[in-house]
Amino acid sequence: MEPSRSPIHDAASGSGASFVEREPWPLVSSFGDVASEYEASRSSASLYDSSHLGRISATGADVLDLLNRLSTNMVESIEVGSGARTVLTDERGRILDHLQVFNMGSWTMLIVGPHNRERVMEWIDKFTIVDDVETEDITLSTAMFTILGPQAREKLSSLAGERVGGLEPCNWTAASIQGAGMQVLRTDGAGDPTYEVIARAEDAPTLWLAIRDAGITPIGSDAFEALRIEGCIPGPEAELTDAYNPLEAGLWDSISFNKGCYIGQEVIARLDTYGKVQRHLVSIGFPESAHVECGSKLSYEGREVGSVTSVAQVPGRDGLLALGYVRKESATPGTKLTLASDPAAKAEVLTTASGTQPEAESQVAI
Amino acid sequence: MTLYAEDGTITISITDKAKDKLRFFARKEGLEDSFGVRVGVKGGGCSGLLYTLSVEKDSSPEDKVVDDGGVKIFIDKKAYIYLAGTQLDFSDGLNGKGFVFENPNAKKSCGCGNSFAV
Repeated sequence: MEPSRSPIHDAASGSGASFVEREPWPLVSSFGDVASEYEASRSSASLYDSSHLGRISATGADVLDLLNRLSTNMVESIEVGSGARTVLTDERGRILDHLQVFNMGSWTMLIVGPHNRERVMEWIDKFTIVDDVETEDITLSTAMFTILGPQAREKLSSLAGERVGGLEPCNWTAASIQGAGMQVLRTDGAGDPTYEVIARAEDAPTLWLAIRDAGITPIGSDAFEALRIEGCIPGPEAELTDAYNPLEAGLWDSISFNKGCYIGQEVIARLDTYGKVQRHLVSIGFPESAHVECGSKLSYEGREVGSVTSVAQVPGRDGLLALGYVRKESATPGTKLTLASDPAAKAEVLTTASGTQPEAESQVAI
Repeated sequence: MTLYAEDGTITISITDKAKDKLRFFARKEGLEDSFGVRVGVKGGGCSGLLYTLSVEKDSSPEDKVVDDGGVKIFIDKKAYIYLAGTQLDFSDGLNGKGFVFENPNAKKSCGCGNSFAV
């Protein structure tokens, strides 16, 4: 039976949260002042309820070995206490999920997109033939908070101990607050040190309130999406879908080009070697008057070159900010685009996704 | 290619050239002529499934054992359905690929031939 609410729904509600209907449950859209939530994330530290993301426990002697054969990054050598980001790709090299893999010692934690829990488990099960691998969905029995901002390390460290403050990127440690145990993962999704707190669902309200009361500002999905889009970070369901490949999404840091075969590897290696990546994920700034929504078509000099995948109102900015995939010729920052439906709406490419280098692709002469 | 023998069992075969090479590797591993060829399948590789191959002294209770002209073939029961009718050959020469699986179940194979999809 699927719970219809986040483990901290009541605690958030008591803090003035407004909710927006999403799967698998209503997400906090804001606590009343998106601009303050955004500003706290930029100048101090903030707390976002990520419990809706999928968490899978994988056990067995062959977990990391199998994941290494199925996904883009080198994960077979992840040591206890460490983790990595990797991409499950299909035979066409398209994205099934951009997941985080952490070696927890006796088990492996997979953090996947909110809608991808069953899909990832089925995919792993499909390719578990003789391997010793079992998966269990632990999403509903656990909670997950993202703590971000330039003071995240300092504030979380003073609350949960020096071991948390000393965490290196892609490492995790056990910690506790007010007797409630948790695992703290350093993930650095958006520049500054970023942490994911994983805890038992029943401990989640206690932890959430303690973190809030330590001066870490709770934020909702409106502020979080503004930060994500401003950071040109691809998100589940919007940019991380099987309509795109990891090179288009700029997930270079999640791909090893010398680890050997995995599903989709031939396609991805060919795209890279011959410079055949056709489009790139970019952030795009629109003027105040433009009506933009997911799916809006983008044009360059009258020719359609891509479409919008995410849109946000960023506090302090006139006009909407969007993410979208556009053809590589039009993906350079500074390129002037228009909405196909409204040629008067002038937009500009601001940044390309992390690691994407449209002008310096590794092209070889053949 | 015949997938099933007259008694209904799945056939897997090894060419004479591949048998010679397997005997060579078995001797190198000190197994002389008393050995079996373990062929298997695991998830991964460019196309989704990877062949595995080794020479071993004994079969395990989980194996189907096939005898092809004096050479025993050990197949994990879970891998059996992916390998019905497969012939193991050996491709030598400067550009040879080594052991090659000719698998009638493979709808697609990757460039190097080690991975396939059914």
